Parts: sequence; structure tokens; C-alpha cells
Amino acid sequence: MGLDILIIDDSATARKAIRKSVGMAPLDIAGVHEAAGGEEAFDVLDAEEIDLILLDFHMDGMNGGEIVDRLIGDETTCQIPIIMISSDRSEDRINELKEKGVHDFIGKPFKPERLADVVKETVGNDV
Amino acid sequence: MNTTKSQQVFDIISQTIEQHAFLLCDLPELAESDACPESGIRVDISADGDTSASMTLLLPESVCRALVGNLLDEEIAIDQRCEDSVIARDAMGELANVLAGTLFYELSEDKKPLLISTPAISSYNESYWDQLSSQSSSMRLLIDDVAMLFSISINNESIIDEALR
Repeated sequence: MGLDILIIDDSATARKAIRKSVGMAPLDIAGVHEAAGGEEAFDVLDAEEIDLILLDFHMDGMNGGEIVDRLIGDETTCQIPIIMISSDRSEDRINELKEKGVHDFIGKPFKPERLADVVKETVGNDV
Repeated sequence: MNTTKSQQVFDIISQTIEQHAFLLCDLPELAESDACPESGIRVDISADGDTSASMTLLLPESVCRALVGNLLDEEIAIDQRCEDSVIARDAMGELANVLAGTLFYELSEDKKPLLISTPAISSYNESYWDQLSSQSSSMRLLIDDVAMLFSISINNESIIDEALR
């Protein structure tokens, strides 16, 4: 069964680029959903069975760290793996997010192969 | 200033545009001509932390249109200027964000977190192009034979070497 992925990024360009990468990556994808911010993301999570979240860090309104806190703190979403995708590559911040519960980090820009590798490491090689 | 750092800037820009835009146009190359101060989008972005940094991009209309086509598979209406297009502003802001995040991190000495500003998007005119291109922090790059102007400074110092200007 394929993955349902939620992309959370306030830039339509970034969402499209990530969606394009997901489409090009050798992964079994059932659906790709998008949200431009935290509140929209939680609406999608209420309505859909999401298997994996691809999350930006720097966003207007609720930032990626705040979204992670809310995801981890909610028993309905705390089990969903989160991969942070950001142009902010500072190791301190990446480590801080991993301690919170983020599974992995991908720096922008990235190639679809890199996305596929990280997704497979995060959710298992059978996707 | 040193050529190694300047070359690193150029390589990062090329790699970023190639990867982020899934390049369908030509890779950037260094421009020798002063030509092409046509109108387009200006993006300013800065960062604060242990290191301060700033970056300005001047992207002519045709470069914006090519990059929007590559990034979004969409076209800007022929009678619409890029600065008035929501998708062009979003695309150029995101491109600048990715460029700045990569460059500021790779070029900072300590790799400490920097607070990167939201890209400020406006338009530029011929006189601003001339003004920026005369500064030591700038270099011209060609994309599909059209020049874009790029400027970056770290801790208020230019890192673009004369050899790459």
C-alpha cells in the first residue's frame, strides 16, 4: 500500500518543487496532500490518513518547530514520522528538532534520489 | 576576498539553481557583458546571528519567466509584469531563500544558526542595476543568455573576487 504524504510549506513554489521531487522519486505513493501552514495542516490531518509529513521550518505564523511540538503532543499525530525540509542547515537547530522527534532532515535544494533515500530510511524500505 | 570563496559562491548558485529549478534552461555562467539592465524583480534577504550577511538578486523579466516555468510549470501572462505576479514573487522569494540559506551556511566560519529574514521583493530600475553592478560585492551571471545580477556580503565584507566580477 502506498504512502499518503503531507507537505507543509508556506511557499507554493516549494510545495510544487517537493511534490515534483516526490513524483520523480522511486517511491510507492498513494497521495500527496499540501498545506500552506499549521492550521491548514491540522485540517488535512483531521480529514486524511497521513503516513509521512514533509515539513518546512521557516514559515509565517506557526513555524516548523511549533508544528512539531503540536504534532508530538497530540496522540492522534504523534506517531506520524516527520522529515524536516529546509534551507536552514544549522546543526544545532537540526539536532534540537531531532531531539523533539523529527526523524530526519533534508537541506534545500535536494535531488529526488536524496528524498527517496531519506523517506525509505524513515518509513522502511518497502515503499 | 579570495578566489576560492568566490568560486564557491558561483558553484553554490549554479548547483542550487540546477537542483531547485530542475534545470530546463542553461546553467548560469559568468557574464562579461554589462548589458541587460532591463526591468525585473529585486530580492533582498539578510541574516543575523554570530555572523551577519546580506544578499541581493536582480532578476530580469525573462529570467523570472524562465525560472517560474521551470519551478512551477506555469507561465506568467504576457501582459503582466513579474513584480505584479503572485507566483513570480513566491518563486523568486523561495529561490532566494534557498540560495541564501545555502550560501550563508556554507560561507560562515562557525556554521552557527542564523536568523534569515523573509525575502523582501520589489522591482529595480536601470540606475539601481548600474549602482549595484559597480559595487565590489556583485557579479553578473548569464541564464539563457540573459544577465542576472547577484550581490552578497558577509559581515559587511564583499566575498566576490575581482576575477569573478
